[in-house]
Amino acid sequence: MNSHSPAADAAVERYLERIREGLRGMPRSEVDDIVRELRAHVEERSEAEGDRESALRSLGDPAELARQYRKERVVRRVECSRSPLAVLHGLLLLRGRSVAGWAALLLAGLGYAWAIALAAAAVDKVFEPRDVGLWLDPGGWLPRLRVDGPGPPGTRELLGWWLVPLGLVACAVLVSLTRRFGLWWIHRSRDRRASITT
Amino acid sequence: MASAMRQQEPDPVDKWEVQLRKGCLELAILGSLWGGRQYGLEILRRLERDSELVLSEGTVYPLLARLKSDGLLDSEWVETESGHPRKYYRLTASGRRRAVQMGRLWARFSASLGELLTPLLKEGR
Repeated sequence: MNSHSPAADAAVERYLERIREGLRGMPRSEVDDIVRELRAHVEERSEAEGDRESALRSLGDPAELARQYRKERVVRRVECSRSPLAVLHGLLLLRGRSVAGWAALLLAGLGYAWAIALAAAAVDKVFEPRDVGLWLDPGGWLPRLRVDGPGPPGTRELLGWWLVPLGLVACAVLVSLTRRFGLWWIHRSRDRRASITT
Repeated sequence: MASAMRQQEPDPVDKWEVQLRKGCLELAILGSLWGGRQYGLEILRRLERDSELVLSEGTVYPLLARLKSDGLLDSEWVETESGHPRKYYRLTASGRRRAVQMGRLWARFSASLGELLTPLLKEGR
């Protein structure tokens, strides 16, 4: 393909259009800057080292390249935000097609759900001290967090008012651990894709 | 059958080498910009020539965007005589500090590992 043929021009435009499609949802100025840089790369490379077709080929699949940009953006957003929703959204976007990606999302979801349950129980304990507690059934060995009263006769409550501070501290610890886990996973799935040839 | 399947597995040494190179990529990019501003294709060719890091070309641009958003690089568009603009990257003050820190760590680590490996490399010939 001739470097300056209409067909080569069309191929470049098609490639950049697919990049734009892949970056939909990102701010317009950011997308324009990315497209301008990739266009400059194709021009520069085709002048120095061959035609535009090979320049486009060496950039790789446009959908995958756009995905890499989006991943960087997701990681940045999660790093800058304290919100659990940002972590869950990041895990959802970067889960890929693997079972492990879904498992990580589920684990983080469970972490946050437990954190909410602990905080809610701690607050509820103040208003309903008799019904909320960490209960141990007679003969049982696994205490249960319950908000609907002591259950069968002989059930013992283990924490008393300590449930309030301990519940809140456990909530904070769980939120922090879940966020760390989420960030670790998100960094891991981003870095796995960087293509290097040995 | 089992041995045929095992042959399809990537060589563990190759896998290790890829991980090692990935780990050095950020330092290599910061290092290639130490002497002054460069644009994407220049950085790619510099990495290939001086560090044997051969990146898939698309990979370098999201990576440069990351380093920029981390505040380690700055960029500017410059019009060239050839008619198309170039996006030049340069190290920020914080990028220079990071490059020095990482460079020192790398030099210290590779020197001590080198000592450890000298007998192995001599006898393993």
